[in-house]
Amino acid sequence: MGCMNSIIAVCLFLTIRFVDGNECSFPADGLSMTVVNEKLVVESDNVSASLTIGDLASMRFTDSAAADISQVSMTSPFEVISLSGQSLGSFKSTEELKNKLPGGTYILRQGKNTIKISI
Amino acid sequence: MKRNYMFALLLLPILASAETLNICQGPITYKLPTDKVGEIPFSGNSSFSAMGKIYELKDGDRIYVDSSVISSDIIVTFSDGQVMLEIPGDIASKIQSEIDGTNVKITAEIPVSISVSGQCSQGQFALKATEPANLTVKNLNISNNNDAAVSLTGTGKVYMKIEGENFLSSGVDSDKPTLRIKTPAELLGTGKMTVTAKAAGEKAIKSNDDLEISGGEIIASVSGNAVYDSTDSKVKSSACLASDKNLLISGGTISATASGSGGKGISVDDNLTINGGEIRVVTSGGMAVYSGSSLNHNYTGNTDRLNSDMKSSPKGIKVDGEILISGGDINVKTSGNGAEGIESKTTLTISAGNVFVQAYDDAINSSSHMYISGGNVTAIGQSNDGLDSNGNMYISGGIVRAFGSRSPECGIDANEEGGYSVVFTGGMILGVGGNNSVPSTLASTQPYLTSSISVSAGQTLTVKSGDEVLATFEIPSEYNPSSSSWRPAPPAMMGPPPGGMPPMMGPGGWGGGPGGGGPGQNGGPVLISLPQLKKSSSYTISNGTTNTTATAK
Repeated sequence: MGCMNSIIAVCLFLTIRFVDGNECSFPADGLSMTVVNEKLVVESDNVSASLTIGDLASMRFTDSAAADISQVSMTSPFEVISLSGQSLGSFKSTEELKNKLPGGTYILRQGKNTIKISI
Repeated sequence: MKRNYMFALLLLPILASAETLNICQGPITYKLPTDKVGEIPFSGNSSFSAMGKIYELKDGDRIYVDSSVISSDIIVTFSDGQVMLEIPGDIASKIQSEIDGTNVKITAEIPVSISVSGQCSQGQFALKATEPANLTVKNLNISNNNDAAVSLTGTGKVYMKIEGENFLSSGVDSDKPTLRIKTPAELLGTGKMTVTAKAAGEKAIKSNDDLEISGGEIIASVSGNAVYDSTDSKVKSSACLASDKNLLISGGTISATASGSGGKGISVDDNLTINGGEIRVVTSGGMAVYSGSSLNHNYTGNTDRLNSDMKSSPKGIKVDGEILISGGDINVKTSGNGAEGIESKTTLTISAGNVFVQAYDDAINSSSHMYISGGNVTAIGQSNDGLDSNGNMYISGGIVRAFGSRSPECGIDANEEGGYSVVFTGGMILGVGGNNSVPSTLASTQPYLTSSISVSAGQTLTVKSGDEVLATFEIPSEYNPSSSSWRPAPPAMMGPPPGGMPPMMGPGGWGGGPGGGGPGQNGGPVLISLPQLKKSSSYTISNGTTNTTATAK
């Protein structure tokens, strides 16, 4: 969103394609990825995601964004956990999460994938 | 809002910038341009490939995007405790890098440029190149206690550019040269590099291939004494700059200082060519002689019957092949027993340049013929000959001043015992010593004068024809015959040298028999030859206080 509001902003995205064909993008500005136990921990802007390397097909840099990571990685339903570790329940989509929970930072978990997002 | 949104969307494709993808694996960072990296496919659970290289991912590896500039060079930065590498992503697949603590080795299959800098008290930079490589050392200060500090191997020529101020050193336990070169190489640049070796018998800079020096200020020093190598059964000495093949010096400034026994300033196994640059060599060590299972580091006895493998004389410049000097500014000083200034084991040719040699033993010696056709040559042999040729000595040009010790040593000495001769066809020539060789062949067409006039340092010798001054020779302040030592002449040859009498005339062919010393044809203590002299005419030689008359022969 920050890229779209700035006329002279430089917008580059790292777009990841999963083996199931889905894609998601992370803003490249400030992007950092760390390898931990066969997972790629991606941190960018207001998103943090732990992705299993074996689920990843490829990545590339693009000038436009594909879907948000939460829209791709979290199939319905997924669990939402607060930063203090409290389970906040099961949600069907990030839209539902944004409608029902106050602004803040949450962890979305499904199976072996986790994503941290700020809304 | 909507209008702004549409405007921003239109600008996006134009303004998206080329950032840098950094892949950090331990001390190595690969830098890939985001606008050229293209698709990065993953493989299995632990790797992906980018620009032709497979990156095996390990815990702790970090990948990030920033705006850093990607250099076309591989950048190596040393610091105490670690060495860091930055490798451009587009060549990463053709480069292998191995890092073990503060030792780094780069193997390159393609032409590469590498910059090395930083400081490390125990480390090594090694490059193996199979294609030409540009290596820049800039403000690199690296030491290694037991190995080479910098090692260049492979088959590709390495152009080692010296920038800033650099220090390379190796410790007393090292059994490798400090700067070890095992590939064709050229040292160049505008910076300064000080290379020291402390271990006995070791070299500061050693190449086992052709080496060229065309730039840079290179200060090389060795302090180790000679050692006896029981494997090769010979005495081996330290050297500041050594090449197993050819050495070409075309520029730059070289200062070589050797202080251990048998130490050499410059040692070349094939040919030495100097056509530029400034060279300063000082050796101060004594002669090393191995006898009775011990090594004497300051041998002062007679060396005529010593096995050459059992001794090592300190020398300024020692060359097994030819010496060809056609330019440059060369200054050599030696002070140890047996220390010749410049020695060629074959022919020595000087056609231009400034050559000043002050040596304890022969100042300039050639085992075969010596040719001087130009340049400004001053040779002072403190206890032996100034110019000593074991074959013929051809002087056809230039300004030559040669000073030897007392009789039987000569200012100018050709191997007359072996049937050889000096041949004067040009040049301004002065020989001062106990004696001097005089021409014994009709090929020598330039007349000469002989005299017993006394000569002292600081004087000016003047040669006149009537009132016309034909030439003046300044006697260098370094000439000091009162402190030079006399030693007995070697036994006279009783017959032709082994293998028969070699030819007396013309270039080519080897000089035979012992060189140096021995009676000449009564050349007298002062010999002068000038182009203006005419046979049978009389000339006046003056040293500023005394005048003598001599007839040109």
